[in-house]
Amino acid sequence: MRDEQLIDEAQRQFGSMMLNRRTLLKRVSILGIGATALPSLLAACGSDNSSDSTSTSSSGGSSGSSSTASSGSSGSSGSPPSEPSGDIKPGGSLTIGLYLEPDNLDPAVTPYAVSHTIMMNIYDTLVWRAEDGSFVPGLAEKWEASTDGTEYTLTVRSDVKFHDGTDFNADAVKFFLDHIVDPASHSGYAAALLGPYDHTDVVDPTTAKVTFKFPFAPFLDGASQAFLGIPSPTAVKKDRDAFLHHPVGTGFMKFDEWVLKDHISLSKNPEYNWAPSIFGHKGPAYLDKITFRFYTDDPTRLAALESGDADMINRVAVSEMNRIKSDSKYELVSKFQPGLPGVLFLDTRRPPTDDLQVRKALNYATNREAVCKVGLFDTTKPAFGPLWESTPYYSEAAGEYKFDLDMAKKTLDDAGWKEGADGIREKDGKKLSVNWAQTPTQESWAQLAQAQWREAGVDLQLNKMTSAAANQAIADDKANVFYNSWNASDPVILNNLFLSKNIDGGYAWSKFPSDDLDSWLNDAEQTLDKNKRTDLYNKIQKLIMDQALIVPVYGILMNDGIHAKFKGLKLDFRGYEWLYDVHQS
Amino acid sequence: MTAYIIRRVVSMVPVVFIVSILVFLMIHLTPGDPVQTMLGQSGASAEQIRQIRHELGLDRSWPVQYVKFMEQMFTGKEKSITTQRPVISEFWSQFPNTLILAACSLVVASLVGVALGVIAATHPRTTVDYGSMVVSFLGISIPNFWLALVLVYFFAVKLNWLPATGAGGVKHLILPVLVLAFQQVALIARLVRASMLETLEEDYIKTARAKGIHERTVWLGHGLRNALLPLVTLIGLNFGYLLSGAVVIEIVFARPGIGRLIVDAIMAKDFPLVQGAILLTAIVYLLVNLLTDLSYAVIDPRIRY
Repeated sequence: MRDEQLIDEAQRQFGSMMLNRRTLLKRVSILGIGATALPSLLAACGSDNSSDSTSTSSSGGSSGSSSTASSGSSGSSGSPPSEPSGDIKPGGSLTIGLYLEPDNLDPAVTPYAVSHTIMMNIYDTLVWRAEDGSFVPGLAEKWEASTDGTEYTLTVRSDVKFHDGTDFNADAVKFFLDHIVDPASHSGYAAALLGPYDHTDVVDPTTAKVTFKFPFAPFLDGASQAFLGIPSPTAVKKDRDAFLHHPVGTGFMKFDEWVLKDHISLSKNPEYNWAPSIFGHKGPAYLDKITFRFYTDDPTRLAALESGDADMINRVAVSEMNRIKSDSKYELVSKFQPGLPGVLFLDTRRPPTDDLQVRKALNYATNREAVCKVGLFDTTKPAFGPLWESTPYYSEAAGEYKFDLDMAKKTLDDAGWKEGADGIREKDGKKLSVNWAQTPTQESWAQLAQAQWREAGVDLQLNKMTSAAANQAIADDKANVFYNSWNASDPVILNNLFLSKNIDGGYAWSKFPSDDLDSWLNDAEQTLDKNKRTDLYNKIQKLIMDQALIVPVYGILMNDGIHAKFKGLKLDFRGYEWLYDVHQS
Repeated sequence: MTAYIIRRVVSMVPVVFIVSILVFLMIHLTPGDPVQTMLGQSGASAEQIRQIRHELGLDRSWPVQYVKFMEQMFTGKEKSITTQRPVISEFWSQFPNTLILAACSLVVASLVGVALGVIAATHPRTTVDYGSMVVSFLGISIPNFWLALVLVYFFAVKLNWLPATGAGGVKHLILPVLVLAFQQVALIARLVRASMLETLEEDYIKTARAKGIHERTVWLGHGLRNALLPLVTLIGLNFGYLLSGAVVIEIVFARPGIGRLIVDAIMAKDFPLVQGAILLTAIVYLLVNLLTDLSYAVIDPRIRY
């Protein structure tokens, strides 16, 4: 009954009134049956089921189950549309509260997720990724990779115009890809999505051949993100600085204005006469206007939704999610994001996390279920590896550590870390003390982890700081533990996180140089053979966990709270908002 | 008078330089790097980070960066790292918003504060006197963000009488001004009361009353007029408080303004924007101080520069 005591203790510590003792005992005794029962337990309890998306909307606004057919209208995606398209009256305006203001709206330049949210409406991408992960045509009608994987021949649409009236064609594709790798763009993210891009040849107005220096498997995934959405070359060429704040694309919404720190407004593009097959209708959008406002303060954002200043907000605070879910005035639309889940990176250069046994013990000592239930208000599920389960090439087998306090203690004992008088372990006169550069996102559960690790005899020091300071601390080898998560729909994300060349000056926060990891990661990026990639990523994920370079903790839930009078909101494969089908009921 | 003004303006220059060096050091010494921070949420390779840092000139030595910054700042060319727009235009686009908020709060607080202070001073030891002191005590003790959230909760979320966020018009100003003014009223009322009490003991007040002047004229025309000097000083200093207090208010009410501009820039470690905005704010503050000093001459004929 250790679990029960721990969770009970945590409940008292946090003063949460959410679960009363009876339901808590009931749940925890079921927990004792086994952690493997957990996924179905959580599903039965009504939280997000193990597939990708959840919506409390009864109008079938989101498909929920894993649909095998990706193309076709909403009828074939497994859920009935709320009403036949003929009954939907276009019109209305939607105000969305974002948690951050974008820096700019040039897809080649901005790295922010919020920019992506906005850009998805202004630009179209060459391909789109359906909810089940398959690729469907966008601005590119056909695509073909050469046998060696270094060339992609794209056949693009000829009937699309930019908002400024100019034609979209293969030249626009070439211009944009070159614009990304132009040093003057200082592109961080878009350039990363292009990887070993070399050049593009325009074969004819509807055919572009994109060439890479070596084969690049993640290209299609990158091309499906709004960071590779195609802007108007005319507009960019005219004034590239002004373009940063005045985007021109081909999307179903046109950019109207950006009042700094106040709002960005878009209006319907009446010329939009098509739509990718993943959406529920074709032609112009239903909404006349979309306005984005910025609320960096969590309570303010929620107040904006509840007072009517905003019709929809993204990132509802974890502590408020259950309340919004149960309020019939609103809907909480959510989806787990693929990529790196919420994990703690362990610095292998700094003692005591340079000791493999210590790292393993930390993994055994972490009660992820308790963190999810208590620290995160039961809004998420545990993670066990460097990739979340909805990420392509996810390997379940890599998740080798389950919560096992006795195993944690045994591992430390066997490694020579003996328990001292104060309960903290020691070895060669040094205390088992680890340092966590904690940022605000971990506020609700860091102390819980501290208590859990103390049970195993580990002294965790929590140093609270801003994320900028935390980045610096880990770069200066001053922290053992550092939390992060990344939204990514291709496992190539692991390159930035684990390649040895990204240790100094980059994001390989575990700082573990490994020739095996290096060669597997590079090979996996450069082979288009799905079986080879599967094999490589299995090996990669296993090595990362065998070496306990991270402590995976929980999945990240992308979520939006929207006023119930708006229907049709869906979250895409990565958890970003599809606003094209949204309409007022 | 003109000579005085010129002397004052000239003396502002070294102050501005010192402020610029201090701000530069502060933002560079605190840990964190703008590019690492920007890309830390989405990802990039070490190589790409290095390249972007180089393009932004962040890998050069601090003295070189400082000189470049000051040079670009005074030609108006220094650009923010996050928005890529000139720092000066970012600042001036946001400044009016903060100015409106500050000015309205100042006006409301002064009127209410002076009224409260005068009434308290002229009706000593009555309910009004004690009441106004309680209000003043509350104003100083209650944290403004707490008050803001409570007001938003009741008036915006529950009753829906006023908007919770934004800067659209008079309706959007009511709650923010209320919060900012509340604290200032506290200080102003106390000061006016104390100053008036002192002034009303003066001999010339007795003379005025002996002359048969209407009591209210005695209070306002003679008493208050002489009690104003410390109040003007307070209001001048309050301006600095308003600029900083406005930061919290701007964030809680999601209003555009330089407070939010600077906070967002600090979080993103946008060196040029932080340095530039604070520098410009310092200049504004110095000018306000100058105006305050000049206004003494207007109010008190005995003061001549």
